[in-house]
Amino acid sequence: MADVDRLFTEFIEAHLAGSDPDPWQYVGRLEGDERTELEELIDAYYVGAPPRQWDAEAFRGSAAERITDAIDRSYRGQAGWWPAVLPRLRDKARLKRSEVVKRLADALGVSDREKKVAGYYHEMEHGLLPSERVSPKVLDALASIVGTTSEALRTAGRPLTPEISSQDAADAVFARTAHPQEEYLAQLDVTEADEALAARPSDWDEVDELFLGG
Amino acid sequence: MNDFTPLPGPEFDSLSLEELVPYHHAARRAGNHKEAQRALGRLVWSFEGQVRFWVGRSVPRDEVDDLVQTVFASALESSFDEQTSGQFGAWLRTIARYRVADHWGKEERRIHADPLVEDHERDEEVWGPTPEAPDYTEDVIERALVEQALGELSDTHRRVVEVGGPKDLGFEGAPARETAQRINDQLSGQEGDPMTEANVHKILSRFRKRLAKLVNADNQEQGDG
Repeated sequence: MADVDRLFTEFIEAHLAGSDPDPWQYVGRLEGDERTELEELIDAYYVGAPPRQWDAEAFRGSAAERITDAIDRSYRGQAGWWPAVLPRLRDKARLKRSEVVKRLADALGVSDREKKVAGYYHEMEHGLLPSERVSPKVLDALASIVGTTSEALRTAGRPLTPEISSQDAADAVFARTAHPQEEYLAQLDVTEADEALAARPSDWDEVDELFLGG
Repeated sequence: MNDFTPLPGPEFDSLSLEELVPYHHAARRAGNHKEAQRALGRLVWSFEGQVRFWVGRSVPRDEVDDLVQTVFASALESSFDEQTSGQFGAWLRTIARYRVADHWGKEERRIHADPLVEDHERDEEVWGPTPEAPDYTEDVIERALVEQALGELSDTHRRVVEVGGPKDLGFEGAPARETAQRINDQLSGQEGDPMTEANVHKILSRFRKRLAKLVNADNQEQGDG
């Protein structure tokens, strides 16, 4: 186990020096029991290890920033973790958003109103659509497209603890034609936002019922 | 809405991690998402590497990103319910463990009783939870087990654990650097290499690992009995 001790020491010293070493590079140098031993030691070390020093420049564009943004979007909306979960599921299914929308419109039998479905799906991904208003039919179809269950989607969409922004988000959903919220538009590119908004007729129809009728 | 005043840069930078969590929550409750995002960014940045490793020990690489995000999200939600305890790293480790267990469809609180998958290679098909670090925050670790683990140590190492070990387990919880200094002060005049900050971490890590073994064995025994 001499190699384990040496590598563990090297790892800790590098970590304490602030170089943010990759633990798997150290673990990968060993095999069998020794590898397991080092994994367990690093695991235990991390419990009490000093946290990574803040570095604003390194944070920009990092995986940590992507995680932060996904969680933050969820708290800003009123659809639970949908803003974090839906894009992830879509990525895992290797589907572009336009493809998800197309399949969703087809599955719901409203392929002639795909742009309107696109608008609602955008709102789902951005947490602007109250999750409890989305019908089981939509969740069933969407779950099938992105490879999960409608129950999992419903659970993920439950409101988060500090229900502080629900009115803001509700305004964005229901004041839907004339003056959309700047925050919502800022999250979409101009073309997508224009299309989404232009596609919404003032008359309530089957698509509205699917996404807002509960 | 509640009263919330954003802190200026230097004051914000001086917040400890334990202080960042309530700061984030207060900002959210006040509707100040920008400030909450600032706090959240620092939290995620601070512990992303640890969480990524904990999760990566038990799930395939292409699943790690999802679970890391889930761990942080879950940590935030549970901390709104004030389920946090003193040691932030231990608390996150616990949540990572539960989310990994969820990932494998296992019942959260029965993880100790699950068969361990210890001898896997990371790139092989065999995956599963490897709950080696003890759960400091949810389970009561019997004092007898702590004493047993302490009793296996040399006098110096035992003193290191007593000074630098986690408060949750009844130790002083001094930072590693301070622990090393205090041990060196106590050992001044004696032969041998001085205690270093890295040595303190090594001793504490081995103690945690040993304690985890004892806790797991004890839980297994109780499950069998």
